[in-house]
Amino acid sequence: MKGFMKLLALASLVALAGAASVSAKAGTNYFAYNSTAVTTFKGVYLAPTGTTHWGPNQALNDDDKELDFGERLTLTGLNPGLYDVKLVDQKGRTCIMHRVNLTKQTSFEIRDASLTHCK
Amino acid sequence: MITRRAALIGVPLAIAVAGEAKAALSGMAYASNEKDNTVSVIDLAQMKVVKTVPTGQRPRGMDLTSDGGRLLVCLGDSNRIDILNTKTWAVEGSINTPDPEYAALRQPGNNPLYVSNENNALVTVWNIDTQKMLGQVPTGTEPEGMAVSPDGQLICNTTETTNMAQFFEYPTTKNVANVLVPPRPRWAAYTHDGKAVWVSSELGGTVTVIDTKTFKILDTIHFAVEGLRSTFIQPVGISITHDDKLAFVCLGPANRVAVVSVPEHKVLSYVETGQKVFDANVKKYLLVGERPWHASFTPDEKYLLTANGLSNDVSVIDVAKLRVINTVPVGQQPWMVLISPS
Repeated sequence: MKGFMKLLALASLVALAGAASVSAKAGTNYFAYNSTAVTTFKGVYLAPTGTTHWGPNQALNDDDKELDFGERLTLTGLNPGLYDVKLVDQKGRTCIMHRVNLTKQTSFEIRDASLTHCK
Repeated sequence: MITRRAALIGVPLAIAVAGEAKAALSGMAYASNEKDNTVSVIDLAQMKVVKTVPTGQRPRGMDLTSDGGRLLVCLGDSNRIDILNTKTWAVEGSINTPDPEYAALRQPGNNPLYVSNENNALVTVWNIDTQKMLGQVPTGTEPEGMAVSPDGQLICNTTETTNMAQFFEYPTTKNVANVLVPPRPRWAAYTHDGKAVWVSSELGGTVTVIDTKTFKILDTIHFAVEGLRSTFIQPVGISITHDDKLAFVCLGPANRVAVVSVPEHKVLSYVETGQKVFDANVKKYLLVGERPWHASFTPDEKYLLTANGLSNDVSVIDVAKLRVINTVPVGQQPWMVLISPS
């Protein structure tokens, strides 16, 4: 019983530490860099990888409501994790970037090479 | 398109300067890496990074005091400018100011410092020794480029969204002129005789030459590269030689630096920074030198270094030969490179 209690206490400590860590990361700023040569995006949506639970349009966070090329966009309301990113350009073309890793990195880049599979 | 005439002008010009470019590189260069939150210190004799200095968030614009002893680094996401000692790399002081994008020191005297506060539509003025604010000037939307005339009397700020070059007098900061320029003006550079200021327009794909007495537009320089869509030509950084003969304009996604005759306002040549270089370590050709943002000359102006935001490196251009002679990997998304004056 004593051993079990010790184990329980240890597990609680680990859980608390984990929660603290997640909570610290939850306050982190995340960013998307538009490193394409000439593409502006009017829609930037993130969903946990493998789902279609797209969040709000993050492009609206920008002053002119678009993510211009060469610009960086602040992403809000995210927790660390793997995401799919749906990008909608000014012509209405939609492109998906899969498995964008925001676990350790706090930003990702959109390059021209990311826009190969678009509809 | 590069005309045959322009190419012919460029060749003798290159040859004329070529005989002088024999000195080995020396000194230190500093690259601000906006994604890494670091400054890379490059030993030019070794052509490699010898130190990586952690900074606050999103280092972009930088300026050096005239003796090279202090490096000022704008930290946009940390809302401050750090003043770093370039010997010890200790932070000697900080200027707390919102969203500093770029800052320029008035010379001579290393004071005051003019700061573009991008999201606040302000230029703020600071004493870098006391780190006290001396004044603030309202600007158009998204102030970015900042230049102080060689005599220190006229300050030029470019506003990205308002498409203006705005001029202020020293020391009153009185707004003396606003000049409309093509879209998204990002940078301003005075000729060394102080008679003109060159303003790059990233979306307009042009450089506007403005007379600093009349504030009239003297010329608009256009760029064209054969086989490249015009939208890829996005001028940002401008570096002008001290004799006011040549200007080097970084063209962003065009992966080139344009060489422009300053007296004639004519493009002479284009130096490709985006090119394949054989890397012995990985035994393959690597494409480097992508999206040059800004550039700086070595003190003797025999070499020009470009900060390449997409390929995470710095290209070293031999000014006489007008070609890239080396590439130095730095941190992620280098935005600006400065070279110590000594």
